[in-house]
Amino acid sequence: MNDTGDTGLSNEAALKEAANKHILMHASPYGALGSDSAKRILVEGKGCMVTDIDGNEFIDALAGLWLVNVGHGRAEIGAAMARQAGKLAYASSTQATTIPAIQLATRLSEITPGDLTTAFFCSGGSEAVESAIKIARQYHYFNGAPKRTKIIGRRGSYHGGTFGAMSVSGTRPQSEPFHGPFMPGVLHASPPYCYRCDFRQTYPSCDLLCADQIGQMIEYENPQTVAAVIAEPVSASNGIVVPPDDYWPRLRGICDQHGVLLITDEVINGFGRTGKMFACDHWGLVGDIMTMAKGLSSGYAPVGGVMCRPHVMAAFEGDNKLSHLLTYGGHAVACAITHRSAMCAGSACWPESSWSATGKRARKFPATPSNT
Amino acid sequence: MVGDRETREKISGDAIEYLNAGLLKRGLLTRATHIVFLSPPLCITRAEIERIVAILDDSIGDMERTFGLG
Ligand SMILES: Cc1ncc(COP(=O)(O)O)c(C=O)c1O
Repeated sequence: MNDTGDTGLSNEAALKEAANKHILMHASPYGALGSDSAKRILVEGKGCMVTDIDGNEFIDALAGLWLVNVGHGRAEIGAAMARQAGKLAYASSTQATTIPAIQLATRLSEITPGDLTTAFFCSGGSEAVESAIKIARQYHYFNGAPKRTKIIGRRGSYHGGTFGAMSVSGTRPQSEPFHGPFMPGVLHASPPYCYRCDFRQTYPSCDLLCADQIGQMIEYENPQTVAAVIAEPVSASNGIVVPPDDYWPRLRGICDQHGVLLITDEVINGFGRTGKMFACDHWGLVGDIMTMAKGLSSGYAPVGGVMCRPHVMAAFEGDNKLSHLLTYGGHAVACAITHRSAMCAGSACWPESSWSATGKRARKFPATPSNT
Repeated sequence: MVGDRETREKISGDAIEYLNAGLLKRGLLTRATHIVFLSPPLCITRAEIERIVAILDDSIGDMERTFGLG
């Protein structure tokens, strides 16, 4: 066995060898670290810059994987983490909650769109999507519509790697060979991607056929069998597809007309990525359920969350308990530091105050973190 | 990025691989397919933005010349 202490792995070569053997990198072949020069061991980050084990500096133009919104190396977030870990790291997600979780949920209810009020915490975006699907299905069950189980996603979308999230993602060509059959009861509509329109139409003369297609799908399937539509307000994986301005009002209306819940996936879009706190805010859009992760903690903790509106929560009153449990949901250390970065998100350093109407960044946005 | 503006045919895998290597060589971490994804930390400075743009300009120009695109 390898000595994992300083002795066995103190030099770069040994670390690289160990990483290559003992770590299966995500979405990579085994041994990728040794064979692919695009893979590396990172050791440090500050603001937008990261440094690898060989001392090479890079500008992190992807913020990790679309998430280190507040920048790398913010020691004040680390300090908040240490304080909470020293006090209470964990409390059972079913038997107790903690002060950091309450503070974070309250803050989120203030900054998320419309009347999104109640948070369910988890550990990442895929879990948030799984949770949103399960909440949506149970919402209908408790409202006397147990057959409402189908979920409509969109082609080209990405909602995560776990089974339900993968199933609702529009990534069949990549995942089908390995992972089919998928979760049943999932349909995929065309995205509002005007440059490569599935209908070979042109906006605005298309009159948003792509949104109306979702309405037709719901009617064809029988609305009483459809639970929810899930979509990113601005599709990131599909190539940063900003929909026409009337797309979201149209699709929101279609969902309302058929009693179908709308799950807005703000995992990438949220926390400033599109120039507003949430991409939904560009259109005054409010999903019935909203998923978030990534920028929620800016990567300082593996955290995700689902925000629900009061009418969704009303289905879970009395004896109607949520049939869903995740051990790490609402983890105190994660919530403490997330609260810390979300607090930063709500302060003068965040988009609402730092982006002017012209889209130009105002001066007050703090640059590289001042602390070390 | 397209290999042909008329047909909107996506740029070739070889060109994308060349571009990704060029971006990395010039010190930019990102992911390029036929789309170059950019989502840096929001605390980015003007100088850092200019550096990203310069690296993109060099790397895409290099790819275009090498593969007879543009
Ligand atoms: C829109 C969206 N939803 C969900 C996820 C899944 O998040 P995670 O990888 O944290 O599980 C992602 C990941 O990239 C995403 O882009």
